[in-house]
Amino acid sequence: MATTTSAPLLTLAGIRKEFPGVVALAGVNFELLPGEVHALVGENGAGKSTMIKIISGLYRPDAGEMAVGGEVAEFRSPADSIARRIKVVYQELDLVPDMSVAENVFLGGYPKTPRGLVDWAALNSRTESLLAELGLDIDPGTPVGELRVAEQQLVEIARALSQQAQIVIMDEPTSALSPGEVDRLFAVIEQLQQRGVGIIYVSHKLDEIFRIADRVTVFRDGQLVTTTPIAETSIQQLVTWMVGRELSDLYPKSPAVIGEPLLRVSNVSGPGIYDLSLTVHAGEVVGIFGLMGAGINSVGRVIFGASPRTAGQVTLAGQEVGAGSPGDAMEKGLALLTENRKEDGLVLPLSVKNNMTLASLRKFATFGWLWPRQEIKESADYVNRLSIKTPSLRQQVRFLSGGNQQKVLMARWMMRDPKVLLLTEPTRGIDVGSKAEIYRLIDEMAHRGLGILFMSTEIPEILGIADRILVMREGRIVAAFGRNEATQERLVAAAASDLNDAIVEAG
Amino acid sequence: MSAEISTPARSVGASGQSSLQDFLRRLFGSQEGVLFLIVAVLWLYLMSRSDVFFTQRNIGVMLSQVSMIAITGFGMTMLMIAREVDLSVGSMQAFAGVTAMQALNESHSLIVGLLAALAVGAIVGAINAGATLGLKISSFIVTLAMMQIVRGLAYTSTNAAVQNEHKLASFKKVFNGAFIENPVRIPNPVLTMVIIFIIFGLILSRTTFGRSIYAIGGNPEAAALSGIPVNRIKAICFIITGMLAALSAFMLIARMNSGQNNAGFGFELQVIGSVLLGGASLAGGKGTLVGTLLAAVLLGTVNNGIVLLGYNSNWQTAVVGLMILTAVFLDTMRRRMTGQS
Amino acid sequence: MSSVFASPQENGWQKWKAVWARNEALSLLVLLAGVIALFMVIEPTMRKSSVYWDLLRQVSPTMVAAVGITLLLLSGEFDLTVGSMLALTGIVIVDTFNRTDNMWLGILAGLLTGLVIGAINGTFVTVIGMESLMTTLGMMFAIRGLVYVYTNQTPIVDQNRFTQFTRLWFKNFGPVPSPIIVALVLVALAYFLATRTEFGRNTYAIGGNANAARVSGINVRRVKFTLFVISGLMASVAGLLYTAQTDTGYFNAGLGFELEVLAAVVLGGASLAGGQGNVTSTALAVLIIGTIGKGMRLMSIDTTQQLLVIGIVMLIAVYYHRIRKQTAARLTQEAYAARQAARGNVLA
Repeated sequence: MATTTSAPLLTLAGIRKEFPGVVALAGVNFELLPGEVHALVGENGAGKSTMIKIISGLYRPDAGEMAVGGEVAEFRSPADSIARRIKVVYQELDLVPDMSVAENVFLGGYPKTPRGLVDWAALNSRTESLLAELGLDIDPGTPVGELRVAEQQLVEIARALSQQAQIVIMDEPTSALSPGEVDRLFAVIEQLQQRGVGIIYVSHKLDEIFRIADRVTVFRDGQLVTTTPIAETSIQQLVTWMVGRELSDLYPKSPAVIGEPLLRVSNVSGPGIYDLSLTVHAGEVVGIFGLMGAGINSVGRVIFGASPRTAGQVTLAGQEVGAGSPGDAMEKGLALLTENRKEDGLVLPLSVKNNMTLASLRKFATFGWLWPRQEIKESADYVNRLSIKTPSLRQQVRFLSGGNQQKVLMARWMMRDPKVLLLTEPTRGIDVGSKAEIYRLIDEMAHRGLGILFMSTEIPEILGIADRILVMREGRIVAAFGRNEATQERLVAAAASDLNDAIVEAG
Repeated sequence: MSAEISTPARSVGASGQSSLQDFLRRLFGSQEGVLFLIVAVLWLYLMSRSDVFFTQRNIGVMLSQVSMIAITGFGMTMLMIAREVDLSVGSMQAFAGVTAMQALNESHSLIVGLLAALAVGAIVGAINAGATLGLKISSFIVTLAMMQIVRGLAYTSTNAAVQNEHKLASFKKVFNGAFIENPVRIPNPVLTMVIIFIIFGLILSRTTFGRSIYAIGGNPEAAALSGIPVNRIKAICFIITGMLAALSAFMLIARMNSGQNNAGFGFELQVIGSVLLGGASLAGGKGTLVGTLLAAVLLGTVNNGIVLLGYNSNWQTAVVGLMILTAVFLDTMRRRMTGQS
Repeated sequence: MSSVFASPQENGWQKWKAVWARNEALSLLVLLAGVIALFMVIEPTMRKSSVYWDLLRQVSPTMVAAVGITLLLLSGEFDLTVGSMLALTGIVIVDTFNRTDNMWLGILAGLLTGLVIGAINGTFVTVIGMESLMTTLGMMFAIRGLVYVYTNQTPIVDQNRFTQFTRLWFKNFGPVPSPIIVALVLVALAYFLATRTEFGRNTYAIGGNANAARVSGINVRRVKFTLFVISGLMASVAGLLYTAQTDTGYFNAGLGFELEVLAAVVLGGASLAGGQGNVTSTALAVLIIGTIGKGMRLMSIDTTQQLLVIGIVMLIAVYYHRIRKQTAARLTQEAYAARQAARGNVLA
């Protein structure tokens, strides 16, 4: 079905949303046309997700009007939004893992028999045909929890089809997909486009946006910066709009002074990683790049002992580090910052100070008795040194912004004076200013002679701060580059080859 | 509501608030503050309505009754901050009491009797810990089962009650609540409660052990990754709770002058109710001994007031329920307003 | 509705293992059969069928209440008021008998009690947003207290001696006692609700992933509110059966009943976090606990010491569920890997 009309599917006029202390959206005007892929870009916290939540009925705007298909729409709940044929595919997939594919596809709107009961036969057969449309060969009775992320994503899209959505919103849909899977997804998007469906596509992967989008809208600090046809802009231009300044000053990289080898990892295996060997020297920043699901998130955990190590050896400055014991790893001088700030980093109900000192309590205690004065003094020092924005040391850490929370965690580990710091995606989900400060801290620590092992899924930061870059795919190191030989293209090529492709082995 | 309610406030940024404002905010902004205000108003009211209320004898009796719930509650608070719970403390009132009385009758020694009770508490606590942490079953379920098992053991060891056959003169004196038997002129159960409150209060707020408990409850993953021995600390909390429950069982048999095998029915819910009313949460990571103490005193005051003002004592149970509902309601409202929900 | 996809290399034994591991109700049925067989061997009286009819009569109030709680727990919420409800319903029923001399009004008033209390619980939790475990703990004390105040701790006896009412407990249809018929009808209705209606599936979805349910347009609050009302209603039906046994309203009825019911629900494999469990398993778990109790009574083991055994059985059962679920998870993983290997990457 071709697009016969260019009347907008969705119009936002002057949409405003405030939260205590923050203006999340300051009067946004936005338009989505039928058959259009409209990309939204912006840093985290720029207002993209607030806008999505307003369109999906999770939030109600404080001011402004929204119209769907020319009719004014006031959504009180997601049900209202769904009734207007809007479907959001969230980044954190909203599926019920214990329930079947079919039930998930029709969640909230099951096919029913004339008596009003769930029509299991229709449920399964209709799901089957929807999955077939997407080229997905899965038994509709399979519990969703057993599918791979990419398959789950397509289940979400099948859900959009089942609701005959006119507007589909996709929030970072490719973050867990391999390039083959991305192609598959883009084919589906084009299919949707041809039916006249309007697609709002949120992504921070700018190259993808240039492949798929017709127009792009840029957000910064709750403001809509601009909307422009994709053909009339460039990646460089988008970044400048998003960040509000030139990108180059993000990475303060001072020349590395490489010293003795500190961390030696030999033939280590564990959940998600196989036969990992690497060395980190004093003063060196080693980056490991990989796509989501490539195993980079396990590297730090296995080395540190937070996940079981099934084979291999780890030594730090010549001393062997025991497997499966974070305590021992800490004794020997390792520190680990994980990628899930809220899940296994912060203790949300505790204060800023208590979060900072958590890993070095012994330092402030004699026979287990804490001396608060020393603790307060040292915490205050770190608050100033890392310019952490908090009203007081007693403030519960949950009330801090993502960037400041991350700095609290950096302080927790810096306080222990580790020899080697393992950082897994330390800048995930934080604002540009805090990112820059974390890069500065990493640089400063390396300069002081610490070894840094830095795992990331984002190419620019890896290129920006690492002295040496390893590429990981399916749990194995598949390539290694020096700082000067690494380019975006080479990293992507090494990280993304599919199983069937020839594996680029590199040393 | 964190561990450092008593550490001096130290402002890093410019807060620009007067200390009075800060004080008021903390008073109304915490469960402890609200409880304190309610208790204070209630005491003033009862003092104005009854001449008997604020007498040494009445307050002594009232606090002695409170002491058993509070002492067990202190252990339970630590356990619940660490995100675990113990439903077997009610049955413990029976089993530890019965065992202690039997030991007293056999040995004619106060110390042996007390040690017998504490040993029972420690063992049951250790079993709770072992099953919860070793088999990785939720402590709610493990201790629900242990509640039956321990009660069953109490029934197995005696048909109804173990009477005082040792006639130790010191026995009744130790924990007989109503009378003032010591130099500081505070009833022994109350004194015991205060001492335990101070000891465990300091442990909770001023030691690495206490800090670790809060961290474990707030985020067990983060605590483990920070090198805190999560299971060891939880196990100690289980054992402490068992022992404190056994101590209050000992206080109970001293008051009743016999060990009853049906003692403590519903005690676990009263204790947990007090701890929750005091500001702890089943989700762990928060709660203080001050809160638990105030909550226990509040419930004790209400019960006392109902009797003193001549109301039907049948109201006591209902009022406990209404207090809990009010506390949950206020807590929900407060969290809504501060946007924590 | 998880499908059992067998991977090609599963042999006979493994297939049985898979069936056992994946089917909660079946595994409990095996357990029940085992318990019955054991008692039949060691206690001759347990070989008489009359014992089992009697047993079914006795477990029916627990079964009714437990099924109500199971439905609520599927959505991730608790209700601790069932014990107090047993007393309150009894008092309301018998008191209405005495005041109106009308049996039907009494029964109606009893059921209405459950409806009202359920609605109050539901309002606290879904409208105000209070935490259900704490709220219903408070309600449990409040209701019990009101019963104490109203009755002044004396039982209320039915002055009309409605024999028709007591038949609800004592009448048999053939060998089948009437209370278990009530209970089984309610189990069947609950089963139907949970598996065949959209409401039931929404309940599972809410317990499985509340966020997913919300963004899918499911009215989470309304579903939970309804479940609280259902749970209250079931508790008052349990109270109705219980009261019919003695034709008297006892102020102390159902002390500790909430934990007894919860024990059965847990034994039935329901997860305290919601989303997992089913009413059939709960009903079977009630039978297992009932059989153990009955068997021990017949062996003249002191009633009170049965607690000991029930506690131990609970621990073993929970561990058994754990092993079973782990096995199921491992088997599905293996089957999944096999499926992937057989077909290659579906997306590549």
